[in-house]
Amino acid sequence: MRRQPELVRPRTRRRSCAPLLAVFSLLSCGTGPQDPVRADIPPAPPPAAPQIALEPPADPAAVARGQALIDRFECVRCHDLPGREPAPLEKHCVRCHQDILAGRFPAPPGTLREWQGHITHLTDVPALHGLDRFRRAWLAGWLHTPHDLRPGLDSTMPRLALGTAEAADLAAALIPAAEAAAPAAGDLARGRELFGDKSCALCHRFTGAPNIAPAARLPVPLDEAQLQRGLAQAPDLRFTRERMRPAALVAWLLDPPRHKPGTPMPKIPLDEADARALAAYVTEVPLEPPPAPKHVQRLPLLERRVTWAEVEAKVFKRTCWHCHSDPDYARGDGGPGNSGGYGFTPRRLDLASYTGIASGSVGDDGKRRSVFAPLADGTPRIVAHMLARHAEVEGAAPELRGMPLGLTPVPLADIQLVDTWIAQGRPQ
Amino acid sequence: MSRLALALSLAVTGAVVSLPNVADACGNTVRRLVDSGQEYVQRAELLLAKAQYRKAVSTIREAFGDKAIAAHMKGPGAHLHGRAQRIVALAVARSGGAVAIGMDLGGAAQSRKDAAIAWAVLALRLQAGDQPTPAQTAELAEALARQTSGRAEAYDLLKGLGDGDLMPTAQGWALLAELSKERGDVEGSKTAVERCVKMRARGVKCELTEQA
Ligand code: HEC
Ligand code: HEC
Ligand code: HEC
Ligand code: HEC
Repeated sequence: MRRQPELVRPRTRRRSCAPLLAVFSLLSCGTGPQDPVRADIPPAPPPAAPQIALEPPADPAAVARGQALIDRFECVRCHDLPGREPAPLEKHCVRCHQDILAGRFPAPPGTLREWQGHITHLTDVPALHGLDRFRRAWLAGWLHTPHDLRPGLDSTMPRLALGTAEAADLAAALIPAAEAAAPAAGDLARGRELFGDKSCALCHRFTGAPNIAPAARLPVPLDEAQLQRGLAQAPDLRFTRERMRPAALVAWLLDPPRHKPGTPMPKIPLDEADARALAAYVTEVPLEPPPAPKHVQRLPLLERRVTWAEVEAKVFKRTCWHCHSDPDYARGDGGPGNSGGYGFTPRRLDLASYTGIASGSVGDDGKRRSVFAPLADGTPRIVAHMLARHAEVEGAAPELRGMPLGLTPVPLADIQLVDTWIAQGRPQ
Repeated sequence: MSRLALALSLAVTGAVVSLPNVADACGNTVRRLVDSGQEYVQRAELLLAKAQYRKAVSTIREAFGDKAIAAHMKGPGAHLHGRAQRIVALAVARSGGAVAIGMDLGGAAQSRKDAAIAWAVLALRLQAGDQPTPAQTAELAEALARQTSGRAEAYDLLKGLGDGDLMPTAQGWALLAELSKERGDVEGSKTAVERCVKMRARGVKCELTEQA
């Protein structure tokens, strides 16, 4: 899953101007290379990383509000969080899948095998430890409008029902600490070399950066399981320059597990200067602009007949019903799209049966409404939600929340089936 | 009616149905697998769908006995009990009360039929609660339509679903067509028949038979 427009950050390097102040007290230091510089003044020391104001400690009131929001949004149903109990197994969307895939779940072997063949989503998520390596401001923006970070994971962080203020409070609770001062800048050219030598691209994608093949030999021994987890969890380094605090980036490269115990990124032997060089490469190498978001096209209706059995098998019983089923039949809680969860109000939408889907969902006014009702442009609501997921992956934040929530979009050809089936009077 | 009174009194006490209580699953699969009470209910649901009302009821009675008639309050097993009771109530409604369900409810005699239908209406109404799903509403309407005094309410319920495009089944449209016609709403009846036909549900008769 892809793409997000670049954040714009001031990139101008400012000269160190303290020694000049006495002489040119009225000249601004920040106006760039045209600043008059007297030839007899010794060259300034190498500039530090781009000077953005360091983030202060978070406001304690915001931290407290954010802590309450972590409960409300049930983050522990997917993530490990320091100081919090994980959700019980029957509510945990990741651990149960992991137990099944590892063969630890108490079910007959035949059934386990069948399930294992079906589960691709929510099989791994990053633990939320050591988050103070990230910029609080970045996190707030991203929680509000998340985009994919890890090309190796099928699932993305779901777009939750939170406003910018709530996102900021959550970010404060997750990153209460102040930012440390940035270290001196590293040698970008050396960083580029190291990036190949140390096989960074073995695990990481770095979209927009020049292709640098990993060296044939790994810098550290890794067993198959470590490698698989590394591949699944390695973020696209394109976003790191927006995401990470510069000091934390260098510290991370020197020893990831020290910063985040249990992280799948191994400790790769580097000295301090190497780490600064790699940090410079990761944050400074010019990037190609991301490809322009594609317009999501609703396909024309099919001529042929489409049956309920077909849309049920291809769409609703594939992903949807895991979050949208009738609690009386599921005997679980019916999923977050039915009984509520992750902070959503219960929509009571059951996509596990014909009667269920025909019964619609509960709107904001508490009244039942049809999921087939056409929107202003004629698209049935349920179809629009599935198209919205494509738009989200393309980097947009459409008003309707994309479905399936945070998971791989339904292929357009399968959405077309649902669209056609609705237009044909939803035959049973 | 004395048996109905008994059933109602049970509704107040709330007999507890205890069933194995195993780990929930993401939605569905896991529980269904490990809970044997589920099997009976699932089988009975299929029988109900195939209009085999007597067999559906006896399958439920094998697992639940008279408890399927008593109302259930809260606690473990409540979901499954609710499903079991729904099956019995719909078997009563769809057979016109002809299926005996125990506790002297249902059978050949008209009084037993009436009592069973009255029970079914009550059971479905209790299950629907104050925020019924369209499926619950339509099923309640089905039972109500079996009582002369219930047909006006049945019409109102189904008309509401139809107007909101929330009719959950083809049967619902067929019944709305019939009730509309009875009230002289020819247009409404025609539309309902059309919607029913479009759903192409197997075994559902959409066209109204007598064209008086
Ligand atoms: C349905 C599961 C789910 C829930 C619930 C959920 N997340 Fe996530 N979250 C994910 C997934 C999947 C990712 C990985 C996304 C990626 O890398 O693109 C993620 C990533 C993150 C990250 C990025 C971490 C990193 O190292 O890159 C943060 C921070 C985060 N989530 C915070 C939260 C918070 C806070 C909540 C509760 C408000 C929450 N999540 C609820 C699934 C979930
Ligand atoms: C108790 C265990 C359990 C829990 C908890 C659980 N799941 Fe599942 N999940 C399963 C099983 C088993 C399957 C495979 C079902 C099958 O093959 O029929 C599955 C399959 C899925 C699938 C379809 C396969 C795929 O990867 O696309 C999705 C989507 C899914 N689960 C989402 C969720 C979400 C979201 C949650 C949390 C709200 C969740 N699950 C919690 C057991 C669980
Ligand atoms: C075995 C696979 C693997 C290798 C090899 C690897 N990494 Fe990583 N890297 C990861 C994983 C996995 C994460 C995410 C860790 C987490 O969230 O717990 C990560 C995280 C990072 C981050 C943080 C990025 C962000 O946006 O959060 C940076 C920067 C990084 N790696 C750089 C490097 C560099 C530079 C190299 C080469 C010296 C390298 N990595 C080699 C797996 C790897
Ligand atoms: C990971 C869980 C999850 C999955 C999988 C999922 N949904 Fe949802 N769905 C939700 C949640 C949570 C909501 C409530 C969102 C809200 O209130 O804004 C929702 C809301 C909806 C709504 C809007 C209901 C309303 O009245 O606002 C529709 C339509 C919908 N989902 C369709 C689908 C379809 C179709 C699929 C499969 C392609 C699907 N969902 C898969 C969790 C999920």
